[in-house]
Amino acid sequence: MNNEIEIKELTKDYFTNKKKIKAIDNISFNVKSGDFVSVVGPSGCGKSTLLNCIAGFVKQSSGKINFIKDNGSIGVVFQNRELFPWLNVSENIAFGLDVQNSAKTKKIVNRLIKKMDLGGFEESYPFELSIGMQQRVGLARALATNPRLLLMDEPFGSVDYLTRIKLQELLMHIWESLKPTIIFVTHDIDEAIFLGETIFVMSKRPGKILKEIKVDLPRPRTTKTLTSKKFNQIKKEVLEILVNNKF
Amino acid sequence: MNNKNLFSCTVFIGLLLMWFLLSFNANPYIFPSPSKIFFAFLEVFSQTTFIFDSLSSLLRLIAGFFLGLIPAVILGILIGQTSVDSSSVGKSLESLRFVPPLALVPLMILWFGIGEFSKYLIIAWTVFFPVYISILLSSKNMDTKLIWVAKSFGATKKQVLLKVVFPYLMPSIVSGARVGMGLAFSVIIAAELVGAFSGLGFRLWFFQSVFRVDLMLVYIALLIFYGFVLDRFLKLVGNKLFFWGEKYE
Repeated sequence: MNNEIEIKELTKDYFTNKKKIKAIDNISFNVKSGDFVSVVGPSGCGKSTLLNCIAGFVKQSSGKINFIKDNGSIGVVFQNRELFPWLNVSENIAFGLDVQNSAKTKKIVNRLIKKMDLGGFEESYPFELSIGMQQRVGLARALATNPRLLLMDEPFGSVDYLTRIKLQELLMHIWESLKPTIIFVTHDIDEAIFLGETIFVMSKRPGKILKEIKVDLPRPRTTKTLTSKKFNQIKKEVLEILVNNKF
Repeated sequence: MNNKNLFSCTVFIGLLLMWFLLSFNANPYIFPSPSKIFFAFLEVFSQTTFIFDSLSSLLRLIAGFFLGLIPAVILGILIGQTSVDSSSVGKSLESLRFVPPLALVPLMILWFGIGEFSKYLIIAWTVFFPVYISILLSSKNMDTKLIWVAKSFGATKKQVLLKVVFPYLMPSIVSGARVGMGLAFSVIIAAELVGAFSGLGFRLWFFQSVFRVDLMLVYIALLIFYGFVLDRFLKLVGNKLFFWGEKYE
């Protein structure tokens, strides 16, 4: 597999009240094309900052982020959904297509509404939906433009356990069928292992990559995977790295 | 009729009765009785003067309103999006807020004459600041992630402005406009007291000079009516645009 993104010596400093805070400290790694990368680490370790740097929303202080094939748009999904409250479900999903003046908007939106099981809610507004449904709309909006890279910032962080598993299965299904490159940030170790092909374990602030772990769990993964021996072995490994990280 | 309605009816009749009793001993030119007001209503509505007065005041109000609203929206969005508001430009603009509109009346007459334009400007001044400040506050609270989402699709600056920033700020523009309209309403009446030859404010002043308190009260009732209608209209527009406001987290 070819590299999709190459990150070299990435550093990001923030300034608050004239104090310099190092959010990311000299991170280098590559993401392979079509890979599902989980970035796991404690809260405030700079994993969201890393994602925002890759998306180009914030500028890094130093270092390089190279996109190997620079074509197509990216898709982003945030924890708080960030849906446009004045647009209904269909209009929210169509947003990116409208921005890009797509001719196939209607067809794509209808297909995604079916795929995300949002039928009957096309005209509903975000505030009328449950959080799980809002997140499905957010995912559909990101997928509508068929992005080659999907950046997800703790997207399932605020839903209940069962809804979370359903959303994870949905995402896995999408990844297996479309094979976009996904970078998925989470503080939930189970989630990182369950979804990811590759896990990057990050340290406390200033964020560094402590270890890269290949997850060789068979696919398709189901709820049974969550209780398998192999799963627990990886979980133990990740936990030990995070607990022993004392600086 | 429920208890609440019964109560307000009793209060209304009680006040009317009190007014009636008080007016017995008062000078009818200074403190007219309710019955005299009733005939004053008939007098006003049997002539066309009140229509011309209303039109002339409302026209000033609406022209000045848009003259203030449009630059407030443009400047508010531009300054709100570029964080210039804490800079010297933003600060000096904000300090102008403390110039009371009525203090501008003599100046405007001197600069632009006694005609309509000076009145438009005074109204525009009154409407500008509530709208401008409402947009600024809303811009500060805006979640930048909404803009990020648009940028992730490759949206241009213009698309971000039209598809995200403007719809997001729309409700605050309307609520600012509502405050501005209320203020403009009181300002136009005061501005017409000097330097005008038509309008509700001008007529009030005229009635005072000929000791027709009854007619003055009728005109004040007209003002209440117009103010109420305009405010309700803007509230309706606001609710229509802001349907997503309260419930959305």
